[in-house]
Amino acid sequence: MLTNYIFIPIAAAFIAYILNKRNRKAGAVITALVSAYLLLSLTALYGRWDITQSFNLSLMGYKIDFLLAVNPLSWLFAVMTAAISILIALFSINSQENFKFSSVFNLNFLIIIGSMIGIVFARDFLTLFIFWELMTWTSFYLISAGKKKMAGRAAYRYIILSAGAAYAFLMAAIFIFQQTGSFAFDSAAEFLVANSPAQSIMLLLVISLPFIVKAGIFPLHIWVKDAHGNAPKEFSPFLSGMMLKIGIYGMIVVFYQLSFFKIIENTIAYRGLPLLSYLFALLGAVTIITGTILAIRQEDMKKLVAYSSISQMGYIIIGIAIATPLGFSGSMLHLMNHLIFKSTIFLALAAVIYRTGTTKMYEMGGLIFRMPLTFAAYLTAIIALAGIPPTNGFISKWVIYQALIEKGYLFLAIAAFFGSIASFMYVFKPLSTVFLGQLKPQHQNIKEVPLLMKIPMLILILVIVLFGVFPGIQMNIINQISGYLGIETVNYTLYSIQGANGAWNSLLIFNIFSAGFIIALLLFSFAKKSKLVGLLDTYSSGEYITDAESYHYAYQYYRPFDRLFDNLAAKSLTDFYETLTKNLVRSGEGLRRALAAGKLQNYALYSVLLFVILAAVGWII
Amino acid sequence: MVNLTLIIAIPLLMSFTMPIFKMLNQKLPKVIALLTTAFNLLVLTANFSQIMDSAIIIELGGWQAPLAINLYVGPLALLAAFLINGSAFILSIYNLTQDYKFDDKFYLLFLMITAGASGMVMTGDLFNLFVFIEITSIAAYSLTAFAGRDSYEASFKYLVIGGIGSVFMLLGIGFTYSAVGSLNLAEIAASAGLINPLLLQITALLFLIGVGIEAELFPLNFWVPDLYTEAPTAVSGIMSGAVSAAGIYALARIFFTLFPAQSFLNYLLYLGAITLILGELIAYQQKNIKRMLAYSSLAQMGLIVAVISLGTEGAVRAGLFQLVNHSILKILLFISAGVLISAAGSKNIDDLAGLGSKKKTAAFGFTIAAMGILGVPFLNGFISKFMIISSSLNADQFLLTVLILLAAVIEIAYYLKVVQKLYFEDLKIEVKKTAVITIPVVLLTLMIFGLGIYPQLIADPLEKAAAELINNGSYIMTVLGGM
Amino acid sequence: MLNFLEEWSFFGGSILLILIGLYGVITRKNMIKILISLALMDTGVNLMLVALGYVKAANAPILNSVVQTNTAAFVDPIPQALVLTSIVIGTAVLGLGLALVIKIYDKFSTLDISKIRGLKW
Repeated sequence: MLTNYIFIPIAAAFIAYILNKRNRKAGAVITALVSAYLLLSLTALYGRWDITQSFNLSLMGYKIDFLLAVNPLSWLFAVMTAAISILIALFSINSQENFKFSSVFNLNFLIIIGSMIGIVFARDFLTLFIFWELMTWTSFYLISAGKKKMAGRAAYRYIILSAGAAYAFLMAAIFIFQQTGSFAFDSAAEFLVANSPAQSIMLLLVISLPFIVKAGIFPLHIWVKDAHGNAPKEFSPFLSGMMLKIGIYGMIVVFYQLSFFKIIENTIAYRGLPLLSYLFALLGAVTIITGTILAIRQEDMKKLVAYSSISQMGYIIIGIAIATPLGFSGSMLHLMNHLIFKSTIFLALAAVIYRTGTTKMYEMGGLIFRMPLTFAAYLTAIIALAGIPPTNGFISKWVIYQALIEKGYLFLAIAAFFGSIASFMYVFKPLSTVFLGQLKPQHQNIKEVPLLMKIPMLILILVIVLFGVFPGIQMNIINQISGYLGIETVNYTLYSIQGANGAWNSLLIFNIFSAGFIIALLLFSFAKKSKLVGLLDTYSSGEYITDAESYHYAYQYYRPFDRLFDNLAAKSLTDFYETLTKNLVRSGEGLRRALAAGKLQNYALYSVLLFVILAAVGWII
Repeated sequence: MVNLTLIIAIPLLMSFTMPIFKMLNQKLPKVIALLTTAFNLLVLTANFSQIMDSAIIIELGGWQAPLAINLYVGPLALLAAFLINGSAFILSIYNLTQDYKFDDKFYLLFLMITAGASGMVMTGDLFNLFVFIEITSIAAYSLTAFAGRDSYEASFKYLVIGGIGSVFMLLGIGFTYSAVGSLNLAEIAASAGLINPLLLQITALLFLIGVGIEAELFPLNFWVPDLYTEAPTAVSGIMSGAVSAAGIYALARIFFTLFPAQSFLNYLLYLGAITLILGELIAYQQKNIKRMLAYSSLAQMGLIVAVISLGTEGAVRAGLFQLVNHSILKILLFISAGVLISAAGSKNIDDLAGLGSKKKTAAFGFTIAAMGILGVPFLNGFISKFMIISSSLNADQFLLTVLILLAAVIEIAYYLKVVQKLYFEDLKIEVKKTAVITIPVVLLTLMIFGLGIYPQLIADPLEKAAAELINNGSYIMTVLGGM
Repeated sequence: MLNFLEEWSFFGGSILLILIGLYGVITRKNMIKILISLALMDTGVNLMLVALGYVKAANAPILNSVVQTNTAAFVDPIPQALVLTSIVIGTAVLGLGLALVIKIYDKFSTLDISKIRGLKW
């Protein structure tokens, strides 16, 4: 029964809410248990790609079929959702001790899990829409529950964008429903292929709007920074790791299952790629660049990582849009890997926030001595994010580069390389300012986080390295997905992937790196130790140091670099959208001041005027 | 089956004997009001299956249809009567915990409004419709003034606008009578085609203005925000839950059954669409929560009028479903907002911050109702929103659909502002003691979920009501068929 | 000419009354005057209704054992019944309105509606 996967978490949500009112840890425990159950039962579902389930409903005179089915693609997303939920729930058992909204958190979190599984199992627009809305609404409350006042505004912006896009989606879906008499993807795809291409393309673009919003793709990315930056610290990993990806899932559905690529196949092309696909790839490239530049400017570590998520989504979009076997595989790899290392980063940051209570990087420093495991998790994750072997992040980026170079998309490749190199700039910033440098006096007594919070981070570190060495595990399911979607598969073994011009052998690289690591370790242990001095004992040319912190520069870390892009960043899209809404608001304000001025005489006059005007209209017509 | 006349007669009887009950026991008026509305609901339920089969026609005074005044209770009237009496019932439960200064007079007027609105939807006579509208409005004028000070102003404005409306309506009735020679709705409908087109045009417009005031159409609706803001909560509730529903019913009856012409429906469509977008835009501006709800309420009325006047069966059904939902949701919104307001001692939205943790039931009620209006899946608003979009696309009204969805986005913006304030901001004010509203909130929440998860619950009445509206020939046949 | 006046004076007069009333409601600021204008409108409509049922040189529509007249020579009784009802309603509204005016005067010490604009926007 596929419905079990959806409704068990949703039902458990209410239980978790009630129990959590009694015991602050109960909610997270239930979330962890439910996610574990989901993961286990999903494993049992592996390979059984023929399971479907449908409900026929005659709703108010509309004949509606609700279709659920499992396929490799949806299975992968469901498993990812369940897996990351376990880790986050484990983490939040302890971290939510002082969280005011922990009941609300678990209620909404479980509903989100259920609805996300509903989204990926849905085989028709209406089911998809229902769970999509459910996810949007519950995540709105979750983001609102964030600590700062800004969280409210962020959630607000998020829901407005999402709802607008979702309504557009609903309109297109109902339009298709009226043509075909069914909401099912299959019949919609048939209709769209047979229909006039211009209309089909318009419809599909409208349908992909909510996915673009959710995936945070330029120019609808403006909600991402504030929402991810201000959401509760335990939710940020999920938001960034998983909910952005559900947008990508939607894009894949639009591109392949609703035959977007098939429809645009014969339109004008650039280097063998239809212009519209190229446009999507370009959007991806722009997303990479803007995300990266803006990430470097951030002083708030969570917002920084949020922008980094935007830019990483760019890679995934590029790979999917260019639609080569390598591109698609690279995207899927990167999608999984981004989930893994981005949740690691957010969890590590959550651990830091748990102990220090701040997200401003310049208020921290030297935490490596106090929170070594958190540091290790962060370090591993940023190495993966920057795409350095032997971590998983390198492999996925390598495959995407291969795909770009194979086809010779120069601009896209440049953007991808730029993002990769510059990403090291922004991930190094928290590393240096939060973990390295001088420990702040107010953080002298900080301890490492409790065991239950360490476990998820440890697991994630291991997974990063595991997938870095054996990408074949991921390639197995990816090839099944490619086969399912009708894309050519890529040759691979457990530890190597065949690219366009050469293969990647991760085992070899891993061995080399290990050897290097061992040599370095030996050198480190046998070489003469440097003298340990106190952190505040800095060389100062005979001056007295009154304020030790000022020697650890953390504020405006990359000022010279930022200055290059000051002009660009000032022209923010957010301002544009805000002007737009402001004008709308102003029109309402003007209307109400003019019309509802509290004058009885005016109100009486309106009725006479209405009569006269309608009579005149009737006369003329 | 029980005689349906009782639905009008019993509340009127009870209302005028209210001072006597008050003399017997101070608490009695509340209980009597509750019992009367409950009785009305029972009567309606007892007649439910028969009305679903065929409309019940009651000739008052024992005369035949065109001569005497008759009551016509078809599926549509039944639906509207259920809405009206259901709203009154829920609000009577709410009133149990309220203390009004002159409570015998309050309940007198409260039952009068119920009787008047029920009469509006059940009558088969044009002048009788006018009388019931007047009964309802006079009761509403005086009920509004119960809150003191600013409510007098609101009441006076409503009275003057309502007075103008009644003049228009009466004029329309006069013209109709002079042209047709009868006041029976069915008879007018049967011979409406014979009326001189110019006269018909003017008459229809007179009715549009006269009834449009009750149905809260732009630009006749500027009394609405004043009234909803200042009147006691129960009055705002019954006005938006019951009286406006009766207004929509009257409008639909006149423009579908009496004068079925596409041009009039087009007027209504445009007016409704303007009301919708204007109401939402202005509601977004409000700092006062009740005023915000009022503007949202008239925006919803505009939506309902616009959708119903698309004229297809699906559209009418969608509009009627939205009407049902709107009544349920707005009552919940008003009573929750009422409690929140009295807890904060202020109507300003900013002062409600953080009340979610203190006034749990009210905040929950507000949130659920807001989410219902915004169309969250598994709540009733979702189904009606789906039906509305579907039917308006079906009628090739692309622009209207976009407008409706735009309005929905604006709606999200201002409702969620309040919800966020309630739950996710810190408490700023000292919380005062308030009435307990658990029972009405639970009842209404059950309805919201019930209709959201299993909308088939009212699919049959809706379908029949829509069919009745669309096909005015059958209405004429049922009433005059016996001749 | 005279004939025309006789035919149309009721309609013309009543419509004039309604328009005067409307003009009064829209332009007057004194609440009592507004109510008087409203009453004027009501009177106009009532007059119109009666005029609609008027039949020249006909009797009052009363049938009893004493007066046994031809029913065809009656004026239409229904508008008269309507007018009676509508007068009652009009009076009730007027009374309520005046009561409100008294209350408003108590609270705000003015009869000028344009000065009582606590409720707007």
